[in-house]
Amino acid sequence: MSELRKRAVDLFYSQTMLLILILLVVVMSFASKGFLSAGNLFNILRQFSVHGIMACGMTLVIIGKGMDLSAASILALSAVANVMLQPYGYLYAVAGAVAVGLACGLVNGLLIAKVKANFIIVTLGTQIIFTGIALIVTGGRNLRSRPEAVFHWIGDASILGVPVLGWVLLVVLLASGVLLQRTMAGRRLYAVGLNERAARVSAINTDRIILTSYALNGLICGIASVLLTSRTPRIRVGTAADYLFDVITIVVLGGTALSGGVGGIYRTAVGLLIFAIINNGMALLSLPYEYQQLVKGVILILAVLYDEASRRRRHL
Amino acid sequence: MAQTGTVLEMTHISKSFPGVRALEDVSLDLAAGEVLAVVGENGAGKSTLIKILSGVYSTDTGEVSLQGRRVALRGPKDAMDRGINTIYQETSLVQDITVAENIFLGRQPTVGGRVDWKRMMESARGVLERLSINLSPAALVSSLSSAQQQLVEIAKAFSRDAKIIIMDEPTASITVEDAENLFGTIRKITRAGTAVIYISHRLKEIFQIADRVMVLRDGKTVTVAGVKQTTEGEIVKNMVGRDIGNLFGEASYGSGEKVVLEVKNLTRRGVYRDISFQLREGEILGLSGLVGAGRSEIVRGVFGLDEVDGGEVFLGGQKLALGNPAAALKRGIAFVSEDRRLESIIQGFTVRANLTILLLAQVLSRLGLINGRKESALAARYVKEFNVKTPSLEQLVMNLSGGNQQKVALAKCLSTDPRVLILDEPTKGIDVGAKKEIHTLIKELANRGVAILLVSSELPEIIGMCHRAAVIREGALVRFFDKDEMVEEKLIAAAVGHAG
Repeated sequence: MSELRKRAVDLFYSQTMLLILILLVVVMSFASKGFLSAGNLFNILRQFSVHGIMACGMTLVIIGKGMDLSAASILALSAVANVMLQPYGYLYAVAGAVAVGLACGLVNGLLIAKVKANFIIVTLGTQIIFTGIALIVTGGRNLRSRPEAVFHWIGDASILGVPVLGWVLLVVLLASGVLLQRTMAGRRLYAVGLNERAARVSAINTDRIILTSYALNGLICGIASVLLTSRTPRIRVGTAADYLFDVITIVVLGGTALSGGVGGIYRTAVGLLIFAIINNGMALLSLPYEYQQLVKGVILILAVLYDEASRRRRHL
Repeated sequence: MAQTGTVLEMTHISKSFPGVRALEDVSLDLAAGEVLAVVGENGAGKSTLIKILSGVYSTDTGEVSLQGRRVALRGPKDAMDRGINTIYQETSLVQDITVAENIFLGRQPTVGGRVDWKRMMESARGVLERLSINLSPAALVSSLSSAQQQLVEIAKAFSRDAKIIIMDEPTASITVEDAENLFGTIRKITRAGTAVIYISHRLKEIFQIADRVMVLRDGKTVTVAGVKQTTEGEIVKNMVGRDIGNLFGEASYGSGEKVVLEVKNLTRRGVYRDISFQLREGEILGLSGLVGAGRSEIVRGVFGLDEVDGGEVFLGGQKLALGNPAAALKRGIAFVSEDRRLESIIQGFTVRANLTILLLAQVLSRLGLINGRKESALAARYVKEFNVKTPSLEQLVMNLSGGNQQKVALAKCLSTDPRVLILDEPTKGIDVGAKKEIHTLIKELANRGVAILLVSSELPEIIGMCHRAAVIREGALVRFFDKDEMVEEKLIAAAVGHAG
């Protein structure tokens, strides 16, 4: 009997965020008539597809016991590359954005895994550097995406009634989920995040795993930048910075531990939905921007506190 | 003078964890100035008992009373404030400050808001002298040996007016002389009325130091008896619940002729130098010597975990790239580290994930993805083959007992079918039953032709297991011993540098 109770307690603590998500959906559907309409749901999907995709990359890095504070700057720099290459055709533009993202990720990864510099300092530094390059290249002007048909399609069209942006998000979620749960590299990333020394003794090339996680995160930011420029034709380099905070909040909210090796894409998906619904709810209730920021900050801290408490509770 | 009477009473304590019943209706009493030894196989409940008493875990049921008054321990600090001090195997001293500062950490004598160094040094000297501990209060803790650090921990606890000091395997990694020294200090503190709960796997020393011995098995008390009323054989029988006979079994195996591993002039500056030896097929070569002589470092160098400054390693006649564990593993060397917590297994992984981490390539589907069913089947096979006791494959390894963790570590390494197996203290901190299983396993492997390099601080283990032993002293290989030359006295003499 007490065994059963313990299991129930365990389940409750490990799935609290899912319960909160369900609760939120129920509350919101009563509080706002428009919430459950297809229009609003697809709107949420459009609005948070970039967040969701970036959160996948950030999840990889955090599971490897790191963090990429330059993610939003990579997003901005890749978006710049995308827009600047558009005159040469959309293929160049997309490939260029992804390549710039990958290159930025490689720089982070090399400095952290090979040079063994602290990840916070490295990504704090590259955050400034990548944004700086983006500002220099654009001369501080707003980016203006060309009215290319392909980007219109990515930004506005739907397949089977679901926005293309949503499909891209789904593909990235699935791909990173499979990578983490079903591949050797994913298993090794967890091992490195939990205990780098033990991973090394188990003949895991820990440097390569960490390098790969940052590189992939860069690549994913590159993909996200294509979506960003497709959805909003005018972008100011500076505003991209907001994404960093949101993305970290989403990952932590889902329950991926900052201490490394614990968590996953399923959790990040739950975190994304909670975050998106709260934001959408605040917009539907027309809460002023400043208050929205306040709420988001409080949520991040509560999520971290809760995560810590539940882990202790379960003797982990 | 020393107080008398019962200082601690624990009654009907039970505690369970997900899937594990760690303690069941265990009762214990402790008199002032008494040494109570607690023994049992790994997983018997010793650690849980200590953790309850030191305030780390709460109990499910049962009561704890101190000096006749019922208490609820609210955490490690609360337990310490009530006079219960625990000395774990890993030191809790701050390494970069002095002995005196450690003894008075957090309660330094002050004068005008600043630390009164003179008084602190004098008080510390007083405590050390009272316990006949021959250390300077001004010495840096990082300059002390682990045995000396243990004495400092005792002095620290004693100076805090500890009523009860719990020692978790204090002799696990110290030499025989250091152990004698430790016992002297324990006798001093018990004479002053402090009671000691002493956890150890070394049964011989229990008869030297303890008044009573309590045997736990599967979370239950089997017996509590005065040491004069019991024998080593009886204790062992009670621990494992059966007679286990000769600890090392018969040496009916012999080594082959073919040299599998050759180490030539391996050197790491300031740690070890010019280490050369050959290891044959089916041979068990022991590396003996004092803790800190460089034995572990040598085998870590061979496996490529630590950098080396010079020398070569040949495997099957071909040179091995040093400093690359992945390459070593691929070429057929497996290594089981002595550090289960940080190295040999991943504590936060499940039993399944630990067992298959080196074998994932075998359970991939055609698409290159891990096939969950195949993986679980493979892990289940190893659990069965190595007799790992776990409630399920999905149990986190950190929830298993030390002996079972070690079986997982061994199974993991052997899953690669190595030609050379390096074992660093494979039975450290492991109970008699699991120890015997591991010894049997090592011999079986040698019989199958696996060449084994065994680092051990336990001379009976070296003598009982190995075909040859190499003694390491201060980073140099001083002498080889053949099977018929191996006698404890000779090995010790070589290890400490006496002629003879």
